[in-house]
Amino acid sequence: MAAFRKESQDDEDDYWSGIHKNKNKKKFNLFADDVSVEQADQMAKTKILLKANDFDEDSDTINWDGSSVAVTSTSTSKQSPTKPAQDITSTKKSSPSALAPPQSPIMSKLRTQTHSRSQSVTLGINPTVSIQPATVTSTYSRSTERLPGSSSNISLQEVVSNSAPRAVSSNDRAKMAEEIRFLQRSLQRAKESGTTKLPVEDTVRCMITGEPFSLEVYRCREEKIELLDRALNTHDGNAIITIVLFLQRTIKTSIFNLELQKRPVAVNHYINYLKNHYDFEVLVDLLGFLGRNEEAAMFKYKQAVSASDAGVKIKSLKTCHRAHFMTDQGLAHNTSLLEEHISLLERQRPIEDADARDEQEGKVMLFKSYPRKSSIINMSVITTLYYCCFYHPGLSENSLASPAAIRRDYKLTDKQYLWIALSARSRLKQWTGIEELFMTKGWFGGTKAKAVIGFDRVCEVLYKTSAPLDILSKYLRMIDSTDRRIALAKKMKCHDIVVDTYLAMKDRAELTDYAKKLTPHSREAYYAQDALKSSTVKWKN
Amino acid sequence: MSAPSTHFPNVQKIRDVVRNELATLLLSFKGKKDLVLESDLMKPLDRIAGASLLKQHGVDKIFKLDPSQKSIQGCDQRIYLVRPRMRTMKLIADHISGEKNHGTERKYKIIMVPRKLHVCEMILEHEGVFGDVTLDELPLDLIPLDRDILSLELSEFFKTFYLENDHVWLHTVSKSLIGLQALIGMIPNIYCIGRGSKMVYDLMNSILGEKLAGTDYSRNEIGNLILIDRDVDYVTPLCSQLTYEGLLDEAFGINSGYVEFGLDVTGKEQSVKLMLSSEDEIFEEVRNRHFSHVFSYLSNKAKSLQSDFDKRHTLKSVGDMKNYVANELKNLKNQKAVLAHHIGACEVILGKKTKGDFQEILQAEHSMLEGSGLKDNINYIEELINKQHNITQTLRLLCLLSMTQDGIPSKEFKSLKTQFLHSYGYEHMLTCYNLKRLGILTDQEPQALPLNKVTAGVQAAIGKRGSYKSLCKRLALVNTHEATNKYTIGICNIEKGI
Repeated sequence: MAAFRKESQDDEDDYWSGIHKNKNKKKFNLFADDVSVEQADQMAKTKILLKANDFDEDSDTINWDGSSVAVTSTSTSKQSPTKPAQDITSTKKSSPSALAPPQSPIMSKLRTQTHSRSQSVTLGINPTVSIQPATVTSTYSRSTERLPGSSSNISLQEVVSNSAPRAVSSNDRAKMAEEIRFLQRSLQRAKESGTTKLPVEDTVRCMITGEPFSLEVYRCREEKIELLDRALNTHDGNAIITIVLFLQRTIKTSIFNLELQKRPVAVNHYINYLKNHYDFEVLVDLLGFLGRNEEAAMFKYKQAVSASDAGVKIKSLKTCHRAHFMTDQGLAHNTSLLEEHISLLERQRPIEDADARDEQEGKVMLFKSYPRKSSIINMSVITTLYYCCFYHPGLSENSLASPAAIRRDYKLTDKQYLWIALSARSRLKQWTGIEELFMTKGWFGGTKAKAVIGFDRVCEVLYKTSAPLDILSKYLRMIDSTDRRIALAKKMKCHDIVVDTYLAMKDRAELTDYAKKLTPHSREAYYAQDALKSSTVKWKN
Repeated sequence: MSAPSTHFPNVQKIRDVVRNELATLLLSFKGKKDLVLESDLMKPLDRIAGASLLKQHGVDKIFKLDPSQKSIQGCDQRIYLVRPRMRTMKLIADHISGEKNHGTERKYKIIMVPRKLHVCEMILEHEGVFGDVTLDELPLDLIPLDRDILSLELSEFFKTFYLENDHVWLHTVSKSLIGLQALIGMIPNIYCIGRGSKMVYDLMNSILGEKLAGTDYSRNEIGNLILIDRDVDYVTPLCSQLTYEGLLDEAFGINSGYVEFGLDVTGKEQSVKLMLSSEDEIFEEVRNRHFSHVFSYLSNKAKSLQSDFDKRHTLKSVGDMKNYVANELKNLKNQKAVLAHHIGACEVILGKKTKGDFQEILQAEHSMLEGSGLKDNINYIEELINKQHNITQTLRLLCLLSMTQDGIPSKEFKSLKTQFLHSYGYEHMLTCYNLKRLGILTDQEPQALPLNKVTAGVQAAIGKRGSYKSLCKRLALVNTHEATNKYTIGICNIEKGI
C-alpha cells in the first residue's frame, strides 16, 4: 500500500515536472526547428503505453496556444513527461544519489527510436499528432538526418531537470491549471479552424512515399471510406492493407464487411493478410460471407491435407466434405474426388498395417526379395494399384488390397489398369503372367490378344524392364504398323523381327541393306542371308 | 535475352548505389556485429556485395535465417537482412523475446529488403519487441545480371500478384524504375501492356508526384520503356526450352545469374558455381543458340583452344615463351575450365533429353501450337498421365493444351483431371484449382457464375484472355512449314580432356 502511494505521488511529480519541462522545451523548440515529427510519432507511441494517465491529454495542449508552433515541438514536449520520467521514478526509489546513470540508457533508447521512421498508425486516442498543419509534411524527411543529435540533447536536459528534487507549491498548481484551461480552449479553436488534419489525399501520398502519417484522425465513416478508395487507386498493396486493417479496427464488423464487399481488390488484400496471419477462422467466415464458397472449400481442403497423421487427415477431410463440398452443386466433380480421396486413405491404412507386420515377421517371400521402399499411405491411386499388383496380385475382389477391387472402386479405365499391371508384372519378371492381361474373348468363344495401349507401348515397357528377347519378339510381332514394328525392333535389337517384317513386306532392298549392317557370321546375319535366298518370296524390288 | 549492342547505359551504377546504402546501414552499428541473412537473399546479395565488403564493415559472423532455429549465438549486435514477410517477423520476434528472457543483452536491427511493410511492423509491435529493434530498409531492387539485363529477382511476385491479387510488390517495381531513371535519366516514352503494367505506371507517377511536372528528358540514355504483364502470354513459358541457356535453367536452375554444377557435370565431389553472363565468351556465343547447334560450336572451340595450347611447342625464343606464359596461358586455362563445364552440362542435358519422350513431347507441343490433332494430343497427354511421366512436363503439356484451345472441352477436362489426380495424388486438386484461377488450365464450360460470386482474379482472367487461336491466325505466330525441331546428336566426338 505504501509503495503504491509512493508511486502515485511520483506520478504526480512527473506530471508537474513535465509541465515545467514543457515550458523549457517550448522555448527550445521555438528557436530550433530541428526536431521532427517522426520523433513526435515515436514519442506519441511510447505515450500510448501510459495512456492510463489522463493528464497527458492536458499536457498535449500546451503548445497549442493559438500560435504557429510546429507540431514538432508539441510532440517533443509530450515525450518528455512520460518516458524518462518512468525511468527516473524507479531509480529514485532505490537510490536518490545515483541519478546520473539512468541518462545513458534513455539516450540510447531515444536514439534508436528516432532512427526508425515508423508509421505509427496505432496511435490510439491521441489528438496531438492529428494537429498537423499541412505545411509540415514537406520538411519531414529533411529533418530526419539531424535527429539523433537533437533528441539526445533534449533527453539530457530533461533528465537533468527531472533529477532536481523540488516541491510544487499550491500557487504553482493554480497557475498551471489556469494555463491548461487556456490551452484547452485554444486547442478547441485550432480544431474547429479545419486545418488540423491532412487531407486524405496527402495522407495516402505519405503512405506510398514512406513518410510518416497518422490515420487516427479520420474518425468519420466517409473519411475512412475515402482513405480506402484513394489507397486502392494507388495500387500500392502496403497502403491498401494498412487502411483495410485500420478500418477493421475502428469500424464495426457489419459495416466493415459491407464496404469491403464492394471492393474486391481490398477483399483480396485482406484475405491474403488473414492467410499470412493464420487467422483461418475469420478467413473462412469471410469467404462464406462473400459467397466465395469454392475458395473456402479449397482452403479448408488444403488445411486438411496438410495433416501428417492419416487418422487426423481422414477426420478433417470428412469434416471438410460435410461442411463445404457436399452442399455446393458447383463443386460436384471435386466432391466426388474428395470422396475418393477419403476412401483411398481408409483403404491404405489396413493394407499398410498388415504388410508392415508381414514384412517384419519375414514370412512372406515377396517382401524379402523386394523389400518395401516406403509406406503406402498418402500414395496416389495409381501408385497404390502398382503396389497391390506387385505384392498382392492374386487377391479376389472382396479383399481391400486386390488390384481388381481398386480398379472397380476408383473406376479406373482399361488403359490406366493395363499400364500399371503390365509394369508391375514385368518388374516381377512374370513373363508368362503378362499374356493374360491381353486376352479378350473373341466373337465365337475363342480368345484374341488385344492391348488398349497398343503393343508398341507394351514392348517399350517390356524393353525397359529388360524382358528376354523371345518375350519381346512375341509382342513386337503383334504391332500392327510395320513401320513402327521395324523401328522398335531395330531399337531393341530384335534382328529376327526386322528380317521377318521386311520379308513379309517383300522389300529386298531394305533387307539387303539391313543384312549388311549385321555382324558378319553371327546367327542373325545367317538368318538374314537365308531370308534373302528364299525362293518362295516374290520381291517387289 | 541479351541483345547485341555497342552502346549501352552503364547499369552497373545501380550496384554501387545499393552497395553504399548497405555499407551505411552496417556502419550504423559501431564495432562488431553479426548478420543474419534470409536464404533467398543470399544470391542477390552476392551480386551486390561480396563477403569482403561485409567483413570490412564489421560483420563478424554471417548466419542463415533458419525457421527451425529458436535462437542464434553470436555477439552483442545483430542485424537481420530479410524480405518483409510476416512469418519472418514472427520468427525474429521469437528470437528476440527468447534471448531477452535468457537475459542476453543485444542490440537488434532489422533491414527489410526492399522496403518496410506495415504488416511487418505490426507483427513486431504485437509481439512486444518493437522497442527492442531498429528498423531500416535497403532498396535492393534491380540487380544487374549482365550488362543489359536487370532483374528484381523477386520470384514471389507472380504468385502474389496474379494468384492472390495482392498489389504489395507493384510498389517495388515502380520504385525500382524510378531508381533506374534517377541514374540514367527520365525515360520519355512508356508503353504498358496488361493491367499490372498500367498499375505500375500509375503508381510510378503518384510516387513522383509534382516532381513529374518539371521533368527534364534531355539526358535520357533509354528512349523507350515497354512494360508487359506476364499473363499476357502464358503460352511461351509453357513450351519446351530449346536454347542452351533455357535448357541450362531447366536442368540445373539459374539463380541470380549463377548456375551450380554438381558431380554429374564436373566429375568432382565439390560442386562448381559458374556465373553466366556476357563476360563468359563461350557462353555468350552459345546462350541463344538452338541446342542442336551448340555442340558443333563447342567442339570447334575445343579444337581451336587445343591449337592455341599447342603453340607452346613451337615457341622459338625465351622471349616468346615469357610472353606466352604471361599473357595467353592464364586466359587459355580459364577458357579451358569453363569450356569443360559447358560440355559437361551439355552431356547431362542431352542424356536427359534422349532418355525421356522429348521428341514426342516436342511433336505434341508443335501440333498444339498449330491447333491441330486435338484428339491425338489428348490421347498423348492421357498416356503420359497413365504411365506417371514426370509431373511438371505432363502438367505443362496439359496447360499448353488448355491455353491453345482456350480451355479443354468439358468432358475431356473432367476425365484428364480425374486421371491426373489418380496418378499424382488427390492433393493436386489444389494445383488444378490454382491453375484454374490463373486461367491457365480451364474447361470450356461457360462460366455462368452470378456476378457477385466472381472474384476479381477470375474476372480478370476471363476478361483478358484473348483467344490464342484467333491471335495466332491473325498474327501468323506459328510457322507451319518449319521442320520439326530435331536434335542431331554429335557430342560423342568432342574430346573432353583438352
